[in-house]
Amino acid sequence: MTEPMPILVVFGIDGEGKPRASRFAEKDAELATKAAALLGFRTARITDEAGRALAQALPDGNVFARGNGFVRLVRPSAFDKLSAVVDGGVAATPKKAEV
Amino acid sequence: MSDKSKPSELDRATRLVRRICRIAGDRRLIDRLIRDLARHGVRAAIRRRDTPVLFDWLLEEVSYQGIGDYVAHGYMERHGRVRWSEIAALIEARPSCPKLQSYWHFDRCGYQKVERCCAEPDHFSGCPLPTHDLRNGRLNQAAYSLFLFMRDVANGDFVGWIDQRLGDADLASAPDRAARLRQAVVEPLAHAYGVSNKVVSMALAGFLLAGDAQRVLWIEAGVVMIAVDTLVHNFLHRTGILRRLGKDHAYGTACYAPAGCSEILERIAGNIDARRFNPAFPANFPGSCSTRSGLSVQRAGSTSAMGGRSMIASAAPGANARFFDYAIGCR
Repeated sequence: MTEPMPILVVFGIDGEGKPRASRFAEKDAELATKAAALLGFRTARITDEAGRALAQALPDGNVFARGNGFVRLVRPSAFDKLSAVVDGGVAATPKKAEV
Repeated sequence: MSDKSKPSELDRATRLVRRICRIAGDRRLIDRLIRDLARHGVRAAIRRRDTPVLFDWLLEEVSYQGIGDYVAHGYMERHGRVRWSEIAALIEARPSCPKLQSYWHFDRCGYQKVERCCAEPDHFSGCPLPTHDLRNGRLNQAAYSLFLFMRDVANGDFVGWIDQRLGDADLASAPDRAARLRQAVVEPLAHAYGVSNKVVSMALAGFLLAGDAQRVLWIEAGVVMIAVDTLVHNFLHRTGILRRLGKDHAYGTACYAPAGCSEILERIAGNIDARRFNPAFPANFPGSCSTRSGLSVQRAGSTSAMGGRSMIASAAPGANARFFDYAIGCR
């Protein structure tokens, strides 16, 4: 049996303190990762079954959208669940990457 | 178009457009596009993969939106144009405004030329964006947004980016292949500030069609570029085509929605064999290979007149604006 493809998610707390999270297609992975690093969001590839269900329920992100259009707002509960799947509930905003 | 219940109405629209093209068609449209792109150095820039030159050209195309071409051209002649090299040098100096960090940061800049204000007033005095004397503040923002797009999204290789986007969309058997090719390049670019779907479609139609004969996918994508502006929409409205097809809608985003102007034009073009006008044309030629694409000589006309030409060229290549005006005036 073939392994299911991991789902790339980008998530984090935006400048206004609001939780954001989106999933991205594999073809957009390189650009999504680059943009996430520049904007200070985190990325994760979700592989486990519970996490995949959670990731699939996230809104689609758009690698070509600027500002808030890149990663969408999500409910705090969904964000907390995603954080728990990725790293046990820690949802700190990471350090922004240098351009 | 999902509604196939009115084939006779589509036939009628097809006959009208075919007649226009037969009488007033520009049979050397592609030759003229090739010549003009070459004169502007665009074809050589594509061969060299010279993104700065292509940025300069595309930004000039964007600068023509929203006002008569004559006025826009005159302003650029008097006040100059902003170039890739200028913006690159200014960005390289790392200005303090956080919005200039990357393409994705550049959102809601809010620069207004007359009021001399923006969304980051603390950084305004040191910001390079207002230093270019463009016709309005929106164009300053468009210039920086497009620069950052080409630098960050296209990784400084605009030609390579287009190759990759079209290559990824190249699904030979997909029924919506034309739309996929069109969207592969138009949709991303239209996210840049101040770069509308219409302007991108008009600019890229000629660029892809006549930029490089070796790039088959470019030509295929250029052929299917459709730009809809007010005159294009009004042609379909005033000739009764929209009403008879039951597709009346207001001008705007609905023109690009399913069963909008864009799709109607695509269907009309699908019924017209453009090779009857020039054997070198592709059989199905809905592209908005308008005379506006990269041609300073043609810019003496107004934006809407060019739009009229665009529509006619969309339906089948090459009628002129005078006949277009005649066609809509007859009704």
